[in-house]
Formats: sequence, structure tokens, C-alpha cells
Amino acid sequence: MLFNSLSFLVFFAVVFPLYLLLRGWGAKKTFLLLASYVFYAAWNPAYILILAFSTGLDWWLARRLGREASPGRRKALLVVSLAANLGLLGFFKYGDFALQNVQAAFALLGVTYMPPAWDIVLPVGISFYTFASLSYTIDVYRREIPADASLRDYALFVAFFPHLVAGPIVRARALLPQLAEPRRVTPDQAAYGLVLVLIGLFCKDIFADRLFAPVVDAVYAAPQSFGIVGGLAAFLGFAGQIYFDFGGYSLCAIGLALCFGFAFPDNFRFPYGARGFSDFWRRWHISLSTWLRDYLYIPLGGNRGGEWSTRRNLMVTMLLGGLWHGASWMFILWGGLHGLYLIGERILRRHVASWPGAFVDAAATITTFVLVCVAWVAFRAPDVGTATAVLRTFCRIQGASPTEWMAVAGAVAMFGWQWRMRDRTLDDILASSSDGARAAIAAACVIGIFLAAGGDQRAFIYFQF
Amino acid sequence: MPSFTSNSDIHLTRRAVPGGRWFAPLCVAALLGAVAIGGQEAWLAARGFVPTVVDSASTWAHQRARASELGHDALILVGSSRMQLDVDLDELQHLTGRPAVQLAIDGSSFVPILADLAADERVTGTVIVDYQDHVVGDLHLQDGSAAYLSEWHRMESRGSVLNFTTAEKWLDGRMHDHMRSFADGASPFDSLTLRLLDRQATPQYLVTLPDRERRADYSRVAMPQFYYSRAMRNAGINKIPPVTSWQALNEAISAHIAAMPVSDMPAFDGNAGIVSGYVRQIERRGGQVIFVMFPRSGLVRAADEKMFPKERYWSRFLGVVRAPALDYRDVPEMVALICPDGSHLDARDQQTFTKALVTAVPALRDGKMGVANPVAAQDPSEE
Repeated sequence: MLFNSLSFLVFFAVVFPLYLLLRGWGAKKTFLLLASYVFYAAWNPAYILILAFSTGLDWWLARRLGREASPGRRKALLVVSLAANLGLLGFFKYGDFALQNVQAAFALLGVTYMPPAWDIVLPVGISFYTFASLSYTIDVYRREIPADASLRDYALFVAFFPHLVAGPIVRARALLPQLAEPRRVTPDQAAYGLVLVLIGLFCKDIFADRLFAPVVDAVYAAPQSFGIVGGLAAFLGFAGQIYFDFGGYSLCAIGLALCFGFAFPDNFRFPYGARGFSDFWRRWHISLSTWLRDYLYIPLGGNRGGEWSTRRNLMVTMLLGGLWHGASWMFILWGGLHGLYLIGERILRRHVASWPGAFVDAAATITTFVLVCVAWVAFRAPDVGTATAVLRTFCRIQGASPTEWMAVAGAVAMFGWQWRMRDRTLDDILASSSDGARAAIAAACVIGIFLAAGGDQRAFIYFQF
Repeated sequence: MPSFTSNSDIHLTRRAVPGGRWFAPLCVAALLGAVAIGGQEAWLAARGFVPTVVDSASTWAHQRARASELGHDALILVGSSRMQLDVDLDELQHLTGRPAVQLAIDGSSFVPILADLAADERVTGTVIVDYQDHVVGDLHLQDGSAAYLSEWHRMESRGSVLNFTTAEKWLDGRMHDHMRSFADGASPFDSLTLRLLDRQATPQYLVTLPDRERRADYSRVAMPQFYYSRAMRNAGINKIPPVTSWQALNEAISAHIAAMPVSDMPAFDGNAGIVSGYVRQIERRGGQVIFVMFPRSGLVRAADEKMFPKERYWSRFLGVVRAPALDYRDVPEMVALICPDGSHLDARDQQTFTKALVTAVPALRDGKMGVANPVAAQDPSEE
């Protein structure tokens, strides 16, 4: 059930009023849990078995972890949780990929190995809820949070529909305390949540799907047919498409949670205005980057073991971050490029202590954006051949369609806007608007979403991850 | 330095909402949105546009399911736009007393659909095919039928269990069927820019009904431009000839058609044999297949007859397939009908055509039947 679908509109129109009408915090939570499972089952009812298994196992393991005093047994329980969660993720997400690579490796050795096809269907959102669930068992293991959540609260934390299938990856430490106490929903809070949903849907429907996606798809399908303008439209346009797609989704999730009285953290903060790559990762998909920092990079040693081990830790984190996005060498390449960027930035920073002056600041911002776009080519292209073919379009001068020019102009405008707004937040901008401006923004979103409706409905890109 | 608020904290437990009112502005926005959407609908209504059913793969798949469910009684119509525009389904059902299922797909070949029906043991009704020579010449034509069949097979494999896809399609269909902004498969943005803001916009002359029948009102389009446009497309003319009058244009297109070679389709006989196999499969189950050559007029007819001479293709096809058939040229009531665009009938002629079709095909005229009698014009070469 996509947030930009009529089914979801009906779902929300039923669930939200009933939630408000229900009396008793326990009843509200039970209702939200059931609604979230219905939401998830809309893709495939069988998926809820995996979700329920993962939830039940982690809740039980965390309870045992909370009571267990022996360090050895505690570690064993954590290993079971990691193995079960990452095993499920590995099987569903990387099973086919691993099989293909084993096959290719055998072929290199001259051995023909033809295993039967597995045809594994990836359960929607498994990467997101696995990471959310793991944050609980790891935090309990570290004794950073108690293991006192009820099964219902824990199940709702994992399955709460606004974040279930594409994040933000909400931490147990953040959401479980919210579930413990009744949440008060005020009309202005719910209305603000809905305004965020409208802005998110507008970003998705107008910018991602209408302005950028058609050009990006066309160029990546046949890069040899395009010249430099088409190439730039795809190069810059995909940066716009994925930002407005995923950023729009995250904004919808934050807004929907707010309607029910829950707080989700920001997931994006004008990332293309970043001054450098470490700054970029503090602004892009924040819930994933902080998860990788807290549960992978720091446990690996972080920056505590000298320069070479820091570089190794950065690279391992980014490679696994790339792999998290999907079972493809291109995602690993994307992660590797970001790993190199971060290492390069560390080396540069040793020679340039800070970013002095407007010129260096501008150069850093532009360089960061361009190199992030280079990495997006690896992310978007199905293979290295297509990626290089897209980059080769820059060597061809030929006519361009108005839609290609519009995509280039739209992406440049987006970059300029993010640069200008990078030290603010969307909340800041909306806080300073008058009542009339608020009404105008929301109305423009409603009308824009309506006008853009009716074409083919593209799923949010991050659903596949 | 960034002025990050607490909303950036990954361990956030309470989100700060920007101060001031939000509920009242949102209500105003909802009102403005409703006025804008209602305004566009009213404007479209004032310009004469009406809501239409979107002829989608999903709608087709539901009709396809009926073809399997209705058994021996079913009249299953297969082909392309002529079948959709020329046949009045209500009239056909009234005259024959049998339920009709419209499976024709605009701009597509009948062959994949006939193959799918032949492969389905539940299909035991009468299949009426809108025959076209060129689709028999090339069975590998890529057209919209693949997506329609794919949707049907997906629907078959998943059954009628309510899921996101089926629920969404149902809701989407209901909204699109009742709003002028979505008429003819347009998006509201298309309707705004191409219909409301463009004073030269083509009026809505074609309406799709829920049973997938289509009705064309050619009095709403600019003639003879519309007709010549179709004739040129049919004759493969991409550039408008440099002429100054309609008469001169007519002559230029006629000259082009006269110079056109007869279409060479070396695989035609073999392909007809494949089609024959599908026909036999259906006949073995007690069903039957009737091939109908639908009316054409003027330059469209001239081009078709030049490229696909009757003796070389239609007659040879019937010789191979040996199934009941009807050529409009053999039915005076049909020959008298004029296709305004050269290719399709106006909605006002649908009933006349449908009556003539039922009258000319004994298998339809006689109501329920076991084995159909070959119609008089089964093999025109023997006339």
C-alpha cells in the first residue's frame, strides 16, 4: 500500500478517525498494531509471518538478555538475534545474488555449476524493520535500554505502518518510550502532520515522478541516443529524483506518525548543500547513516585505532551500507565510492584544518554535489557498461528536448535551494510562514498532487531496499 | 553553523511542531483544493467533455474472465478498434439472446488473444474475430495485447483475493470512470493543458463504455482533416503532400495508393495454419470461431485492397482455416455504411451494422446452436 495511492487514502480515512475515537491507550495501541499488520499484508499476506517471527524472536531474546547476567550467555543471545535477523535478510535479499556469484566463480575455474533457480521474493521493507529490530536487541545487550517492553508495544514499534516499509529506521530507544505513555493528539499537531504528508507527496509526484523520472529512465535505457544535455539531465536528475522520492516518503512517514501523536526524527536535511562527504552523511538518510555509525562503524573501532584502521572501518561501513541497498555489485560500487570520498576528505582535512573563506566553502559544496552525482550513476545504472555509457554522453553535442532542459534546470534549482537552506530546517521555514502562506502551500500541494495523478504510479524507490 | 533543532535527534521522543495555527490553514487548503478540482470538472463539462471508462488491462482481464465463465452461450468478440467501435453490444445481445464479451484491443493483433482462448478449456462459446490480413502475415507483432494477457494471467494466478493491486485498481477505476479530468485515460494535467487551455483541442468524440464497447461521434471532429489524416496514416504517408485543396490532397493520396505495391507476406500461409490450429482447438470443445472482415471506406479501403488483395490473402486464409466467415463487401447493408474516418463506423451506424452482422451470419441469427453453418461467403473465390 503506497502512501500515494487511493488504497492508502481509504486506509488512513478509516484508521485515523477510529484511532481518535478509541478510548484507552491499550486499545489504541492494539488497534494500531492490527492496522499496521493489515497495511503490511496488503503487499502479500505471507510477509506478515516473517515480520511476526522476527518480532517475536527479538522480543523473547531481548527479555532473556535483560535477565541474563553471564557475559558469555548474553553474547550468545545477541549472536542468535544477529544470526536470525541477518540470516533472514541474507536469505531473502542476497540468496539469489550469492548463488549467481558462486556460479560465476565456478565458471572462472572452468566448472559448470547450474543450481536450480530459487526465485526468492523479497519481502517489502525487510531491510528497514530488521535494522529497527536489531537496534533493540543490541541496545539491550549494551544495557543502554531496559528489556521491559510488552510484546504488543514491541510489535507495534517494529510494525508501526508509517516507518515499516521504507523507514526512517526508528530506534527502539526513541519509539518504545513513546509507546509507554499515552500520546496526546492536538488538531494543530495532526494538521501539521498532514501538511508534511502533502509536501512529501508533492515532492514525490511532481518532482521525482514527473520532472526527473521520465528523463532519467529514458537516458539510462538508451544512453547512446543522448548528448550532453540529456546526459546532464540524467546525471543531475537522478540526484533530484532519489532525493524527492525518498525525502518525500520520509516526510510522509514523519507526518503520519505525527498525526497519531508519535515523533519520528528528520531523515534528510538539505543533503546537497553539504560541505564535504562527512557532512553529506549527516544530512542524507540520517536514520541509516547513524545506525551504521552506532552499530557498525563504532563497534569496528571507529576512528580510535589510527589512521589506517579508521580508513578500513570507513570503507567496510560504506561497502556494507551500499550492499544494504540491494544485492548488486553496483550498490557495492556506490558504497565503495562514498568510502573513498570519506577517506579522501579525511586526508584533505589533515592539510586544511577547516574550510576557510567563501570560495573554499563554495568549492567544497559544488565538488561534494558533483561527486555525489557521480556515485549516483553507479547506484542507478544496472551495470558498469551502462554507467560509463551515461558518462560518455558528456562527450556528445546534440540537440535536446525541452524535458531534458527542464530536468537540468530543475536539478540546478534544487541544488541552489538546498545550498541556500542548508543551515535551516523545513520546520524553521514553515514556522516563519503566515497562516495564509500555510494555506497556500497546502492548497498548492493538493492541486499539484491531483494534476499529476492518473499516470502510471511509480513505487517509491526505497521500497526495494 | 547549522541551527539544528531537536527534530534532528535520532533518539527523538517528542517532535516540535512549528508554532501558530495549522488546523485552520489546512481546512482552507482543503476547501481551495476542492474548489480547484470542482472548477476543472465544471469547466470540462462546459466544454462538452464527459467521463469515460479507461480501457485498461485490468478491465480487459475482467471481461476475459467472463469469457471462461459463460461457457457455451458466450459471444466473444476479438480483434482491434473496429470491433470495439462498430458493434453495439446491447443490440448484439438482444438479437442473439446471448451474453457478449468484448475482448478486442485497440491497435492489436487478434492472434495472441485467439491463442489464449484456444488454450483455455473453459472457453466453449462463439468467438467472432475482427480479421486483418497484416496480423496474419506477422505473428510476432509487438502490441498492447501482451500487457493485457499478462494482467489476465496475473489475475488468474492470484484468484479474487483482495490485495493492494486489485483494491487500488478498483478504486482507481471508480475515480477515473466518474471524473472528466481522467476521461480517455488523460491525467488531470493533460486535461487542463490539452483540453481546457488549448482552444484548438480535439473534441471528445470517442467514449468507452463499461463493457468496453466504444462509441465514436465523428460529427464532433473537423472533417475532412480527420479523414485524410487517417487515410494518410493507413497509406504510410508521413508528410502532408504540398497541395492547396482537399480535392488535390485526395488525388495525391489516391496516386500514392495506386503506386503502392502489394504487401509481401511470405509467412502468411504458414501463419494461417497456426490460426487454423487455434480454431480447431475451440471447435473440438463445441465452440466455434467466425472471421469477419469489417467495413472500410474511401481511401482507407482503397489502400487496404491495394496492399492486401482479397484473392491473395483473405480467400487463401479462409482456404486454410476453413471456418465460418463474413466479408462486409458481400453484404449490401454493410457496404452501404460509410466509415467517416475511413476505418470505423459512427455510433449512429452501430445498430445497423450489428443487425446486418447477425442477419448475415446464420450461426448468430439462429440463436443457440451446436455446430455453426458456414456462411454463404465462406470462400469468396468460389462465388
